[in-house]
Amino acid sequence: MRQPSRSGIEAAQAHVPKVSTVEPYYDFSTSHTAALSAIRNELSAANILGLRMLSRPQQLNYYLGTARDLGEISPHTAQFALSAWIKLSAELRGLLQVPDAATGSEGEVLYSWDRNEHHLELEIFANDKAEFFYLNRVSNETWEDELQPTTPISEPIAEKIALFKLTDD
Amino acid sequence: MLQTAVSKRTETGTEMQEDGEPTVKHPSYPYPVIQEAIIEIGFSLPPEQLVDPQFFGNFFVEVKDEFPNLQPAPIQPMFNIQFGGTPGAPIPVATVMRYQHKSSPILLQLSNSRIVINVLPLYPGWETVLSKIEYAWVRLVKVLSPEVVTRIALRYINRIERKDPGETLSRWLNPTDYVPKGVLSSESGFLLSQIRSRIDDVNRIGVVLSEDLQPGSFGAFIFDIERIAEQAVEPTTVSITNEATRLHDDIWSVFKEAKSERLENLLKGVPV
Repeated sequence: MRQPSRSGIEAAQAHVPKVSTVEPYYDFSTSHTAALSAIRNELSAANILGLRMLSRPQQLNYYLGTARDLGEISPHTAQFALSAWIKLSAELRGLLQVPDAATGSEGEVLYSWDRNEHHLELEIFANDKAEFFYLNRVSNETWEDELQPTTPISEPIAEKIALFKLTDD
Repeated sequence: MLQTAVSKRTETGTEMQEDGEPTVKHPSYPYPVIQEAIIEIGFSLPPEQLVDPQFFGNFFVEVKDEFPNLQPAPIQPMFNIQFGGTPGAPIPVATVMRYQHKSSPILLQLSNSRIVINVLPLYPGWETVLSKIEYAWVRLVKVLSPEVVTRIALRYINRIERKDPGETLSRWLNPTDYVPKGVLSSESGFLLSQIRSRIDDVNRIGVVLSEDLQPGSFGAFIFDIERIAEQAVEPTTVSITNEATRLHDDIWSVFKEAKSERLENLLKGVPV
């Protein structure tokens, strides 16, 4: 009969953050599960990217919710800004870096991405408009475009946001 | 009664509602909070295949178009500790090989007794996961001859970031048979609930509520649901996917019953 070799609490606390096998509690005393436990730990490290994809977007959601509750932006703008993020993120299958976000004095939301020489902004206005601005700090190339909420992402926008795709680094 | 949300296997392997409609419909959320979904299929092999490690390579040939990255899962050697300080003989450990998808955050892990499918963020939805189960099993039976499926287990680990340091889990979950009211009001640092229930001879369910305390953040709540059935299942794709769907329905029921309106909004992409 299989018996856990640790107390339930210890076992649960040990497994909780990032785990990768189905049966963490039941049979620590068997060699097979102990071996899989080692895999679990190793996979936890591999799952750092997954964690980034999960936790930072939630924090962006909270930021917009708080800004709305404080009256800095309207409920409509908060929703529009979050929907814009979800749309852009979906284009990269969840692998778009979460932008830094700020609110402006006119009830707008500003997203900004920075990586190496690339700088991208998306300004989301209270009147349902959203405009991109891109600057290459080395070549001084600039680019502007509008994000249309109801149409698919255009190719130029897709190219620009791809500069900020999350990697395993 | 504890097991309100879970099913037992029917003769057809498909749970029916009272009106005769087949199982649960699952909404697809734009922003799932699933940190990892794990699907495990345990099987027994004929004795001659147990000692033939060539199946790892043969399986790779079958899956390499989709899962081109092959590596052994690192195993730490283990020894029997004997009195007198001398290590005993190494304990034989099952070799596990890992196959990583070319573009999706999905892994297959294979040993001579189980195949595990790990789905990392962003969760693509049950239909996609089901297609990966089918994909893996169809290819597995090309290189191995499982006599019977002995166990199917699903585990869904949900992760909800704390919005502020004083936040309790009660903002995200409602009390249910598997979510005790007491733990919902717990402050950070001592939050843990573990419910494990044996439903009958073959069915088990486990629900863990806990927190992941990361330095530099407010930490996150963990809502971990697993559903295990240890019984003989015909080693066909249809039988396996039906059984996996039944277990998934149960996990969904536990989650659905517990989720608050606030969590529903987070999943839907509404600022909370």
